[in-house]
This record gives sequence, C-alpha cells and structure tokens, in this order.
Amino acid sequence: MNRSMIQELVVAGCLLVGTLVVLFILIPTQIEQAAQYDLASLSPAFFPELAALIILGLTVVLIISHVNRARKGLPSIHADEESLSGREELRVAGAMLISIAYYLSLDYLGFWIVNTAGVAALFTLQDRSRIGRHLIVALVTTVLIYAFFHYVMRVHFPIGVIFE
Amino acid sequence: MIENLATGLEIIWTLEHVIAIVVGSLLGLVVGSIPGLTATMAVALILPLTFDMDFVTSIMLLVGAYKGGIFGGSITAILLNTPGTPASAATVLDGYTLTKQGKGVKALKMAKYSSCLADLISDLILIAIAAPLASIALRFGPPEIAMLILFSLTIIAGVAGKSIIKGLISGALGLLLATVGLDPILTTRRFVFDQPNLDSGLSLIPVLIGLFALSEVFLQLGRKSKSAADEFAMVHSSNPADNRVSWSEFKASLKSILRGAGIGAGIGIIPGIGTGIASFMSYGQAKRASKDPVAFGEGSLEGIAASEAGNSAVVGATFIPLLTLGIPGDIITAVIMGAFLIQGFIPGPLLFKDHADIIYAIFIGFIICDLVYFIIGSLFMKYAAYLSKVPRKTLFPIVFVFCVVGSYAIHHSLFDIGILVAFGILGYYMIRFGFATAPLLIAFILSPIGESAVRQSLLMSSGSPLIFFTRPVALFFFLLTVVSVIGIVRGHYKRGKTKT
Repeated sequence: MNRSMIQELVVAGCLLVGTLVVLFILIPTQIEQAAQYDLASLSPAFFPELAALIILGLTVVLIISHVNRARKGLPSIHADEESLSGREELRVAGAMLISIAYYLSLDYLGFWIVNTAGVAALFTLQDRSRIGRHLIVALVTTVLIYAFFHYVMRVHFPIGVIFE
Repeated sequence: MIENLATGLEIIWTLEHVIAIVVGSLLGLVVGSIPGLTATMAVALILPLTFDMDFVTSIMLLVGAYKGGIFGGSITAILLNTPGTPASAATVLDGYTLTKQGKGVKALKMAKYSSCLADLISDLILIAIAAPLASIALRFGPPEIAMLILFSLTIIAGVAGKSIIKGLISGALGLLLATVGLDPILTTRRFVFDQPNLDSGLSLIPVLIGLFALSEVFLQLGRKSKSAADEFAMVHSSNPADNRVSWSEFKASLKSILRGAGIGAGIGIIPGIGTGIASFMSYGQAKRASKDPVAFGEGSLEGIAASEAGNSAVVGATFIPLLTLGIPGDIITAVIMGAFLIQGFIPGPLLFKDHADIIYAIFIGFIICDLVYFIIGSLFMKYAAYLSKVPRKTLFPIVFVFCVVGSYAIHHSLFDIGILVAFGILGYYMIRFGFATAPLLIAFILSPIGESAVRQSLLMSSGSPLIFFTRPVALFFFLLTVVSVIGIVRGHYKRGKTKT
C-alpha cells in the first residue's frame, strides 16, 4: 500500500471517528431538548443527526472504495497531485500559528501592534534576510489599512486592553 | 407602461443621478474587488451617506454599489483565486485556472460581457414581469421551498472535484455546520458550547473568506517561489488572442449566458436564496448541457460566463419581491429597503400605484447602471490586473490582512476572526486531502432555508413525507432533482469518474 493511500485511509478513519463523536457525544450533550416531541422532525436534533448520518454513510463508502483500490493495487486518485516538502509544510504550519497568535492577541495588544507584527512575521516566514525592511513594509501596510478602514469605511479596530 | 417609462427617463436623466450611479459603481468595484469585502458591506457602509440625498439619487448610489460590488468580486476571483463576494465563488473554478494559463484578461473580459448582458436581461425581466412573477413566488410554501433547495443541492455534484463521494461529504459537513446556533423552529441552542457568540450561528462572511481566501493564503505561503517569473501571476499573455474574447468564443458561451440569466432571474425572485446559489446553479447546468463538460474547472470560458451570468442576473430580480411585495430578495436588498424606509417610501404594491414614475425611473436607472459599470469595469480592470503583478510573498501577507479586516468589519467581532482562522485551516486541509470546499459552502448557505422548509412541511403533514409529492410545484422540483441526479450519475459513469 503506497503512502498516498495510507494517508487517504487515515483521513477517512479520522472522519469516521469525528462523525461518531458528533453522533454519540456532541448531539446528545450540545443540543438543548426543550420538550419531548411527538414528531421526530420537530426535534432540534433532527437535521444535525440527518447530516451526521449522511457523513457516516458516505465515509463508510469512501473507506470501502479505498480498501478496494488498495487491494487491486491501484493508487489513490489524488496520488498524481503535487505534494509539499517538509520545509513547505513547516512554513504552512508557521503561517497557521501566526494566524492563531494574531487572533488571540488582538484583543490585548490592539490592531496596530498585532497587525504590524503579524504581517512582518508572515513576510519573514518567506524571506529571513530583510527583517528591517519587512517591519517597515508591515508598518506602512498597517497605517494604510487603518486609515482607509477607520476613516473611510468607519471600521473601529480594537486598541488593545492593555492600552485602555 | 410606456408612459411610465418615458416619465421615469425624464426623472433619472440628470447629472446628479448619473454621478450617483458612477460613484456607486466605482465604490462597489473597489470594495468588491478586495478579497473579503463584499457588495453587502459596500452597500451597508454607503447607506449612512445617503440620508441627506433625494430618494432616486440615494437608491441609484446603492444600486450602483450593489452591481459594481458583485462584478468587483469576480476580479479577485479570477486573478487571485479569492472570491471578493460569495457570488463569485463559482467563478474561481475556471477563472483562476485561466489566469494561471496566462489568460487572465480573457477571463476578465468574458466575466464582464456575461455579467453586463445577464444583468441587462434581468433588468428587462424586472421591468416587464415584476408583479405577476412575484405573486407566483409568494405562493411558494415550505414544501415547494424544501424541494427547490433539494434541487439546488444537486449542484454539489458539479463542483465536487475528482471524487464525488468526498464532494458529498463536504456538502454534508456544510449542512451540519449550518446547524450551529439557535434552532430555526424552537430557538433552542445547538452546538454553542456555552459561547453566546455562537447563538446566531457561524457567520457566513468569515466562513466564506476562511474557506476560499485564507486557505489559499496558507497554500501560497507554503510554496516557495521557484523563479522570478513564478512570482507573478500571468494575467497578460504575449499572444493577443489570449487577451481578448473572440466573437466565436462569445457565441459559444451565449447559450450558457442566457440560461444563467434565466436561472439568476428565477432565483432572484425567490426571497432569501441569493447570488451565490444562482452562480453555482447556472455553472452546474451549463456543465451538464455543455458539449465539453470536462473543460469545466480546467479553465472553461463557458464556465465563467455561466457563473457570472447567474450571479449578475440575480441583482435586478431581487428587486421584484422588494418592489412589488415589500419582501427583500436578499441581504443587500434588505439594506436597500432600509434606504426606502428612511426616505419615507414603503416598498410594496402601493408603491406602483402611488409613485409609478419614481419606480420606473429607478428601473431605467438599473439599465444605466449596467452601461456605466460596463465602461467603468473596462477601465478598472486595467488597474485591478496590477494586483496580480505584486510578488506573491508581498501579496499574500497583505491578502491575509484584508481577510482579517473583512471578517471583522461586518460585525466588529473578534470572534469572527477566530471563525476565519478556523475555517482557513479547515479549508487548507480539505484542499490538501482532496475535499472540495465549494460543496461545503453551498450546503452551508442552503441549509438554514432547507431545514426550516423541511421541518415546517413535515409539521404541516404530521410527519408524512407525502406532502412533498402531492403538491404540483414541489413535485415538479422533485422530478427536476431526480432528472438532474440521473444526469450527473450517467455523466460520471461516462467519464469514468465513479472510481471513488
């Protein structure tokens, strides 16, 4: 079994587990039941259960089709697609971490600091040689975005809890 | 009607009104072409500026922004693979592929021609049959709407990518995610995890921007540019034929444009369905009817024409229920309805009786809008093309900021930025593992309307599903769905794409 097929099976397995979690843990605990219903269609869980059951059924079909392809020695239908190198994967993970840090710190540090630092970090992620220049470009970007959205579009950005 | 049109032309043909249309179209184009900023946002932000204007001027400014915003969204969809508005999500499928082939200008021109033509057709339909069609749509009950949504969901197969099963899983995930928030019938909480921000559900704008724009930012930031030439998206080609749409190419897409205009106008009449669905429906139908369906998604001009015709034709038609029945056709017309009320005009049948001249002036204004944004669009496209000449390593961090600001600005909510990041990561991994993101979005948009309609129908029938098959219009949509599904399955077998 080749690497892309193993990856397909792992993804389908995760999907299967995730759907079972939704069906047996999240739907019973995270959907308020206002009353008992004579009609199943009146229950707030009706549509989420329907959607989860569709995902479950399709995932089972997906796993079976993967297993059949593997038994016949056929590659995954996505096997011909371009894959990322380890370094490229790391850059994507870095960009995701910067995005998460951006979101978590925006309320505390405000738009000016977080946006300048976030944009500079994304520039640096791709080119580590000109950090000073990245900071200047990030600052100019932040000033222009702020000026346009604050003064023209009337968007009020967070100034940061620590500066209030 | 001719008399009313003549009076309307007299009212609208002033410098003030034409300037309002030009300014509105330009603002709409600029805002719509920024990834993450929508035509809705452009119209909502312009609304406070119209309070001191006369009624027709204010409506023309807003309609200009609406039409310009919808077309502006297509520019970034084609050049940057980031739809500026939900309406242009289907345009991405072929538009960006053409840009990568060096035919960005050709794609933009086809988008403009099809948008303007479909918009014009939609406006003429609005003028000709506004009242009778709206009254038919008003008779739609929950079973008819439920079956219409079911039919619309068959579009998912058309945008499912290589694996139809993965596409359907993506669509079902969209159905599930749309159930977050308050239940539409009983208003009990679902999947809110004690988080009040989730009571109103996952906001569409950050979900959309996350799935289509931020996921692309992650993909692009991960790839290191291999050469200087690779830094630039190829908009202009050295071959002149790649920079224009020939008459034969336009003619080949004409059927799809006319079909898209019909679908868009039909969808626009039904309140609450909107441009995104119309463009995907038009795209799906064009693919099914095309002699070369395999080309769809691989840079098909017909695909762009169908998608753009579908979304643009909705614009005029969404005013049909607003003007004749007082029901806004979509979110943007709901905002414009606010402008009507602020100016003391109550939309509805009485408007035709009491202010027919003004209504027909607005109708003619719609057509002038089409001509204006055709001209402005040509000029604007030249500058918009420079967007794609910015090096990727500079462009995508800035697109990231626009994604964040666009998601934040609509509700001024930091929580929406969290949704954006979550859906950006989800979208990235979906693309990496071969799950198309478009089906998720389509189902996410359709699900709330569909869920309400299905449950209301079953309540009406005491749980009997026969209600969907005993009402003529509902049965018609059901049969249309069956025919559509058979067509899709046959198409997949023929192309040997049913392996998974």
